[in-house]
Amino acid sequence: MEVAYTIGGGQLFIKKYRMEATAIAPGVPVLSNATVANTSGVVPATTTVGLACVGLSLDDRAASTLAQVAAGAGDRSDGNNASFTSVVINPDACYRAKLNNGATEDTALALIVQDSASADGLAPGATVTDEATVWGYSGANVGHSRVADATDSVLLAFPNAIAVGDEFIEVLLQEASTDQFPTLTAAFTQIDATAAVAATLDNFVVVEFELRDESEDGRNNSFAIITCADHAFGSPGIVA
Amino acid sequence: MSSLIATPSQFRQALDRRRAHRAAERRAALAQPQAAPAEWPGRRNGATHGSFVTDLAETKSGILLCSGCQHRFSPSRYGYYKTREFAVQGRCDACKTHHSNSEFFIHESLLGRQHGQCWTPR
Repeated sequence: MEVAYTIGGGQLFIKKYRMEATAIAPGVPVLSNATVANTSGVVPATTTVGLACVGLSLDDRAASTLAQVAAGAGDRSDGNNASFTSVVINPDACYRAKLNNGATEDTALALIVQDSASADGLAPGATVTDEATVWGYSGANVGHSRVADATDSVLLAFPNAIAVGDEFIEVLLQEASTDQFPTLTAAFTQIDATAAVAATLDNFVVVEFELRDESEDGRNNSFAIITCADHAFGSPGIVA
Repeated sequence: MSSLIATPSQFRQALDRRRAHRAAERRAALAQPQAAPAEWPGRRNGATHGSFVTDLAETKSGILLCSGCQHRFSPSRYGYYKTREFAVQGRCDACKTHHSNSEFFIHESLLGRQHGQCWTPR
């Protein structure tokens, strides 16, 4: 994921923090490891927990050794050149994360194909998930999204009739909702659109979606913009 | 001609000036704010700015430089991109002073929105 913007519109504040002995990839939220008494630095988030999030990593780091390292040629740090990562620490930073059809990164989202017509626009297919956000991928309702309230209907009707063959995509999240939280992919850089976490407020909150349709390859080019619900330096409502 | 010959007192004065200058440098180094417990200390005091920054570039680390130091770094030479999407603040990796109007350089391999990338040029 990447920084999309800050809610307060301020500068990005970038600091370099030491790491624990866990590899950190670029675009991974990092935590302060606050629940561990003895800690030497930040750790990557898990797929479902962003407790005491420090920010977003901008470096690609292999696992750091915690042992003493003999100074070698060009070693200008405190013994281990690769023991740190650059982190954007703004508590109001919002991150753009790609939506995937599962826990594997860069997986195209699945299509829901309409199998029976719905003139009132309330029944987008027979396999939508309750509380999911559904948006039109092809057909008359391209550019519109709705929240599902059952497995075969949406709470607010789509503006146009739904024809057989119209295609939709869903993600098990809602904008500005504290009822469901995102599940990150296995490498913690993107979002698994097929899984959601119940409200625990130690995760991330969806600020908005960037949902694209067939003309823009929405299956591989749709994003959620999320912010930390539990930031180590303050809540999202505090302007940095 | 006699002014070219240094007297013992002049030797002493020059030595005292050099000692005072070194003492001032040590005081200045101690006066720098202590890093937070988990914050990476960065360049060791005494290490040259340029070689430290090039060492960071060799490891493809993000590099943050203040306005006074950034003109000495050539991003294209090391495959870096000078970010301009956001204003950035932080501690300069070269001079270790905090600046509110700094430049952040990120390695080109990290540009994009796919897995393993974390910055999109605009």
